Order: sequence, then C-alpha cells, then structure tokens
Amino acid sequence: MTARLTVEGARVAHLEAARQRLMVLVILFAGAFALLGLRVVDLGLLQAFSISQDRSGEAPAPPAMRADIVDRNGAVLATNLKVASLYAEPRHVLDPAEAAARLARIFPDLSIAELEDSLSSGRSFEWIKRKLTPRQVAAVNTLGIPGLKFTEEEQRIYPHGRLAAHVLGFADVDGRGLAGVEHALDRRLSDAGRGPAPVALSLDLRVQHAVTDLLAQAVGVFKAVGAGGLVLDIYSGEVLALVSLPDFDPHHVADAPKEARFNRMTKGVYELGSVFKAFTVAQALDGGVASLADGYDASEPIRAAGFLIRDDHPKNRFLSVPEIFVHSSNIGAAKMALDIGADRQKAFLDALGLLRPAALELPEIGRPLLPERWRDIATMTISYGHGIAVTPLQAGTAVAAMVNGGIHRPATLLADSERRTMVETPVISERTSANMRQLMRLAVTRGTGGNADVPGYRVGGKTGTAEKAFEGGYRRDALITSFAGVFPVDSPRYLVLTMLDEPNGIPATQNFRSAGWNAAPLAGGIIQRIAPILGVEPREEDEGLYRRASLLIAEETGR
Amino acid sequence: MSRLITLLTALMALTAAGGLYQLKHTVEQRRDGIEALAERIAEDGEAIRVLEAEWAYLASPQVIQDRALRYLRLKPIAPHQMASSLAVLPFRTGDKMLTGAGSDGRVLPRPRSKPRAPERTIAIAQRGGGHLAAIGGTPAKRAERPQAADDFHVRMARTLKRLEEGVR
Repeated sequence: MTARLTVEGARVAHLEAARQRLMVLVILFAGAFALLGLRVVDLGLLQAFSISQDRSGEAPAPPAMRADIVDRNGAVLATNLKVASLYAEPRHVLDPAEAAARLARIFPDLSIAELEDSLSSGRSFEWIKRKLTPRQVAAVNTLGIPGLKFTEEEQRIYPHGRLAAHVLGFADVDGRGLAGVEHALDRRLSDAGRGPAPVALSLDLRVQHAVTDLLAQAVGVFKAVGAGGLVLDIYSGEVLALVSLPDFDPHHVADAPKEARFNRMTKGVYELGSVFKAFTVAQALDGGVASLADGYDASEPIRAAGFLIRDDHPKNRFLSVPEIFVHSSNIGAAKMALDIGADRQKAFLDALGLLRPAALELPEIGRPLLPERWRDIATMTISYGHGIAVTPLQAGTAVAAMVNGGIHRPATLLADSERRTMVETPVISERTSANMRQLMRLAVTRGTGGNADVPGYRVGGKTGTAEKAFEGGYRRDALITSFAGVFPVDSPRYLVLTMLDEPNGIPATQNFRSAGWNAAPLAGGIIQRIAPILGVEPREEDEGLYRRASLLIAEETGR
Repeated sequence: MSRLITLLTALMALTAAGGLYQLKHTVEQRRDGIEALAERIAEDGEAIRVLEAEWAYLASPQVIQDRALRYLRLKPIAPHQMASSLAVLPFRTGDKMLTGAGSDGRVLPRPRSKPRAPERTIAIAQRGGGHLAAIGGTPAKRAERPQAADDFHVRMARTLKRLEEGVR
C-alpha cells in the first residue's frame, strides 16, 4: 500500500510537472498572440492613417542631375540630356583586330591601333568613346560585336550655343563646372538636395542676344580685335547682359583659341580713359571741392614728372566744370584731382569698388592694376583714367553708382530669388548724383558722346578713349574705346557699357577711331534695340532739366 | 459544441489566409503598376527635357532673327512708333473721324507732329555705304533678302487656295 501510494505520489508529481510546463508554454503563446493582436489593432486602427499617407518607397526618386541654368524669364540656358557612351568588356571581345577595324570606321577620330590595344587588354572595362550621337549608337548596334556595351550618361547642353558662353562657362565630361557660372556655382548646381529646381541668372536672353549681335557687327565694321558689352540694372546691380567677343562654343571648348575664352569684361583689365572723369567730377562736386559754376584754366598743358598732360579736344581757355566733363578735358580733370588730393581720391575709388577684384559670381575675375605709390602724378593721370587699369565690369558698376542716387551696389549674375545679401555703400549724395545725370546727358547732347543719342530714350553717358599699354609705354596705333551710357537719363534705370579693342577708322567715321565714333554709336544702337524689350517708354525730353548746367557750357563757334 | 468551435476557427483561419493572400497579391500588382508608372514618368520627364532643350534651341534669338530677316518684311521698332496709352494717340480728322469726336462743334486737337526720324542713322548710312545702318537699328540683310522669301508667299497663297477648294 505504502509502495503504491509512493508510486501514485510520483505520478502526480510527474503530471504536476508536465502541467506546469504546459502552462508556461500556454502563457508564452498567449502572450505572443496577445502581442500580435495588439500590433494588428495598432496597425489597423491607430496607425492606419499615417501608413496610408506614407509615400516612401513607392516611386524611386529620379536620379540626381546637375541643375539647369535659366535666365531671368525662365528661358533655358543650360540643361542636361541623356546620351549613350560606349564601353567594352575586352574579356568578351572575340576578335579584337576585326572589332577595332570596324569601330574605327564609325569613329574616324579613334586610331585602329589604340582600339585594338584596349580591346585585347583582357580587362573587364574600357571606355571606347563617350557621348555618342544617336546615329553612332545605331551604327555600333548594327555591328553586333559581342562585348561592346552602352551606358547612359548626362551631357551638358547649351541650347543657345555661343550666346552667353563667357557667363555660363562649361562643364567637363563628368559634369564638373570648369569655367563661368558652371564653375562658380558648381556646388549649388550639383547639389542633389536642391531637387530639379533650376538656378536662375539675372541675364535676359533677349538683351544678351541684342548686345552680342550689335557688338559682332561693330567688330566687323571697325575691324576690331575684340569687343565687350554690359547691361546693368543700376538699382539692383543685376547684370542683364554680359558679352565678350570673340566668344566660343561651349560644346567644343577644346577647339577654341585661348583668346576666345578670355572674358574681356570681367577678367581683362584696361585703362579706360575719360570714363573716369565721371568719378573725378562727382567727387569734386560731392566733396565741395568745386561747384558746377567753378572752373579751371585749361589753356596750358601740364608738365609734371616727365609727363605731358594735354587735351584731345583742346579749347585753350578757362573751362567750367560742366565744360571739363562735356569736352573731356584732361587738364581740367587733373587739376580738379589735385584739389581733391590723393588720399581722398584713393578712398573714393575704393568705395566704388575699383581697387579690389569685383565680387561677381564668376571665377574669371581680373585684379585691378594700381600705381605702386599714389603720388600726385598718379592722382592726376587717374583723374582721367590713365595709370589705373580696372575691368570694364567694375567701371560699369561704379558709373551706375554715379547716377542711381549715389549708392554703390556690387554687380550680380543671380536673379533675385537666388541672392543672399546685398552690400550697399553710399558714395555720393542724391544731389550730386542728380548733377551727374545732367552732366552725362550734356556729354551726349553737346559733347563727345553725340553719336550715342537715340531720339526718345534720353541717353546720357561718357566716352573713354585710351591707348593700349604695351611694354612700359603706349601704342599709339592700338586704342581701347569705351562708352558708359545710362538711359533714360531723367529717371535712369539701365546702364549700357560698350568697349571696343583696337577699332580702326573707316570712311564712314572720317577715319576717326576715338570712342565717340565707334563705342558711342554702338551703345546707341544697343539702347534703341533693348529699350523696347526692357519696357522703357520713349518720351519727349524736358530740356529744362539740363538748363542750369547747359548755360555753363559756352556755345561753340567757328567749328 | 467544441467541434463547432474548431470548425469555425478553421474556417476563419482559411478565410483570413485567403484574404491575406489576395491582399498581398493586390499590393504586389499595385507596386508593379507604380514601378511601371514611375518608369514612364521618368521617360516622359526625359522626353520633356529633350523637347525643352529643342524648344530653347529653336526659339533661340539668333535663330528667330535669321528667320525673321528671311521671311518677314519687318523692321525693328522705332521709338516714334510706340505709344504708352490711347491718350497720346491723335484724333483722326476728315472722313476718318472717330465716332463722337468733335460732333459737338468743338475744335479737334491737332494731330501730334510726326516725330523726327533718327537722323544719325540716315546720315551715317549714306556716308558709310550702309555699314553703320546696322548699328542704327536697320537690319543689315535688308537688301540681300533671298528670292526664296517671295516664292514662299506665292507657295503659301497657292496652298491656302487649294485648301479652301478642298474644303468646298
């Protein structure tokens, strides 16, 4: 009995243990199912909305592309197209010699020997040719050679070809910007996080073309070696057109001579001549050194430190300040600059941004050439634009500050939405700026810039003619002529700067080759063409505006 | 009783499995659809890029200028041809009088005098044998307009006529 009881006790204990183990399992499973149930409720009821809104992983994001470049109106200036590139897997090429011979027939620029070398190299990857035309792709496909494969690559396309080539620059075969905006904004253009939004420039394609067209005609007419043009919004500093001729085709950069890739407007530094008189006169008026009614004796050339300063259009008499500007008297400007003094002149030109490289969004920016020591003779020559070499872009920006109410704003190539901050430096007073507008108008109606006038558009401006510096001296036969014009001068909005490199005299200009005969009419032609595009309304002129200054200019007799 | 529960449970499990399979299948189909759609969107996007580039190329100012010089008898607009508002337009006199103008016997304002033509352009053009006329704003290729342009008009007229006849 006892033994049986014992046996029974053992059975119960076994059963008990089994039951307990089972219970553990039941609890585990129940817990797991409860968790699953909770999760189902969570997903089905609580998170249902957010899951249905989740779009990730639905459509694969389009591959990152270099951003397009557009002009201020959204016209495409640079974009990407997918093109096929041909590569070989030499291990799989059966007959390298035969394949090389047949490929060379499609690509005449590839040599058979090199092709055969790369095809028989036994490597797993060899570029044959990148960026094929559709015709070439079809031709390679019809060859049916095993081991030749295509891959898709992006090709940078500039639909307008040469137009604005100096501004846009170009990108290499791997899509890295090497020049122009392509280089300066490379990080922004290749920023994948930016999405497909294009980068908008301040350029206006139509204005850019008009300027290019007329500059090219002028280069032909005057047989100049080059030319440059700039159109600037004087209130925002936006560059509407920036042209340098000769230009190049950004699709075939390697074929372009170095000369053509040189950006005269931003990289080239030139002594621009009388355009600088605008700065001298403005500073004299603003600093109280001279008033409009004052004047200087310009009857005798100045001899100083081995230099002879004389006038190109000598009047040999006492000249009023407006006369000095309008007749472009070097003697008068030099004397005015001496009254201003070297230190103040230097500080003023510095505030105008003429003494340091411009801050334009281009890698091709020239460094101004300044006198080593700013002595009196330097002060005098700089007053009429000699002894200092700046980029035409800087000169244009500085002239804009003379007429826009006296605020210097650095030029920019970016449209409004792209810009970050703008540094504004007041340089002259509103009143002086108004006087400068009058003087610039008079320099056109009564002075050297007469050929720049366009009826209805009230052009004001200043011509500049300078001999090219050459091996320590000057070349009499090579001129840089320029014209900095603003229109409409009574409420100016735009600046047009033209520059011709080594223009020649032609019968139509009575063989004269100074700025008034080429750069000035060129600017006039540009203004006549772009004013309707820019929405400037032609109006009859209010001559009363210029009366006070005009009375200070003696009537020319016996000419 | 317990048999019924087992049966019901089994039925539910089967239904759930069937439903889940169906759902999974639908989701897979949808996903394939989305992928195909995304591929088409990418293809269309690429086609749009190509067309935009082509449009930019065909609408390039230089291209349009060449076409205009070739086919149109148009000159660049001159300042005196522009009016900012109706107010600056002069009234017409005589039989072409505007309705209502001057009907109450008021004296009509004299038409605005015709603005002067840009003298410089003409002067230089005469002197320079037309070199600088281009800079003054007149198209340089005026004189050498190809004969094809006239043919074009004739052909166009003929085509239009044929079309009209065809419609009738």
